[in-house]
Amino acid sequence: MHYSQVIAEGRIEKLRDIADTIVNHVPCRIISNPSPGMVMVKHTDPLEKTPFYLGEAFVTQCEAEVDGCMGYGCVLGDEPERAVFGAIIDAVLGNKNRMAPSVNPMIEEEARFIKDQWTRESRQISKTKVNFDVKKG
Amino acid sequence: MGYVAVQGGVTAIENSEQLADYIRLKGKSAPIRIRQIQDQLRLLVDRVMGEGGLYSPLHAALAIKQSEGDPLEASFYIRAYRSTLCRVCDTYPLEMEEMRVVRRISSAFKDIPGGQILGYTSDYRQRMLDFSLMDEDESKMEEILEKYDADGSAEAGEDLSGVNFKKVVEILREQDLVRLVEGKETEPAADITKESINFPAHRSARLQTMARSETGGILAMAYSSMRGYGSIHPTIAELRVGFVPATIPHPYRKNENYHIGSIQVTETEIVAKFGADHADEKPYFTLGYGICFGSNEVKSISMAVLDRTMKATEAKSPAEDQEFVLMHIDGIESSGFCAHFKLPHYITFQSDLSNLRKTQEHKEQTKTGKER
Repeated sequence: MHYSQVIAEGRIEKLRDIADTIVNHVPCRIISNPSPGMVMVKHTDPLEKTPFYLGEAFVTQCEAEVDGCMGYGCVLGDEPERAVFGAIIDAVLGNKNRMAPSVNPMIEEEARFIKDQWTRESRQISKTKVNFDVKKG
Repeated sequence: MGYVAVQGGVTAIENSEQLADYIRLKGKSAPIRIRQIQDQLRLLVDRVMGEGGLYSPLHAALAIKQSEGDPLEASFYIRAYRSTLCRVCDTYPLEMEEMRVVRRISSAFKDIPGGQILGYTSDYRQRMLDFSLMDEDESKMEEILEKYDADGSAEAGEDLSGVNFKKVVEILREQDLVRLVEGKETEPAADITKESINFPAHRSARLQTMARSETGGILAMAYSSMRGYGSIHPTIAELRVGFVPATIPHPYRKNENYHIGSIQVTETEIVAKFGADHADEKPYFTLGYGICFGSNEVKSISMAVLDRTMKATEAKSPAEDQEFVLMHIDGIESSGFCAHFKLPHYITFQSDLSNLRKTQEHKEQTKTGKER
């Protein structure tokens, strides 16, 4: 799982812990505060391969500089905190900063948690699997 | 235009808005929290997001509260709000094979690879009022959640994450029953939010228009075809609901995908009556595609039906006429036009009155002249 997926899908308190670890060890500043925006969601129709726009999605984005490295955070929804943490984490992991070895295990741990959650949900959903019998006669 | 500018009335309008607030609150019930709307009115939230054209459950829930539950009005708020936001970029095309499927059914085949998964659905529920909801409280909600967690579903069920949900249409293609048109992926997509739609409309514009259409509007158009104004005879090859990862290009690092979150969509593929381009050619099933934000199956199915009907080379019914369909399914445009009739039309109506009186006088005079 890419670290940006962990930023978008992970628990906010865990992301805060990761960001705190970074901020407590290397210089960090916010270059642009979290701000709202939107992305246009592009899709390709699988039948005729026609690319088209499905609609827009609200995002919050932020930029940070960590230890001389630029980082970008962008997440779906009105999530300023998550965008800030995302920018800080991206600055470290996207640039393979010296903090990366400390941050990677924390990201991996949260990635495991997300996958466990998804597995748990999918196991519950699987219980709605149906096999209708065709009536005879 | 049929109306004239008017001025004044500010105090009355302000009083009217205060009155609306008063009527909403005078029952002194507990305020509805946005989170409650997101969680407990999720299908309405999904509908408003789709019709407003902006994926944001939070803002859709707020719009629902502000509009007192009127989906047309709520979608209008969302459409207006989106016009105040900067567009950062386009996402990469959604990777549907990465979808976390929460529901997947086929009406065409009983047995499909990966199986039929009902997920959450009210399809098999009897449409009777559930009076137990009248006194649902936090303890009852807690009880339901605890019971669900305790039944061992999470441990006992099958992990679907590794299951290959092969597309039904793909199976039909392998059996040479449908033709998938290839090689258009590099074509630029039309964007109806930037350029007005022209007719005949490019398929990308048709799909985009339908994706943000009003559910009742698009259903009515599709229903006309289902009932017999047109004859495509659709069968749902597959209907899926699930969460798809959305990624954008990283602004600093080229060729790097940046995941921004997951978007829930409902996707439908229909197979319709078979045909061939020429009499001497092999016939194939024809296809239609529908997709929309959130969980909205009626809209997604209707879109797929209309995608197919509008492929007709010659429109023989309203649902096959691109302009007829696409110009009448947008909820904001249609409800806005309908609402505009409430604006003062004093001058034009005076003109109508004057014309009618003159015509009546003329008729009277003609009648009198004939009698003489």
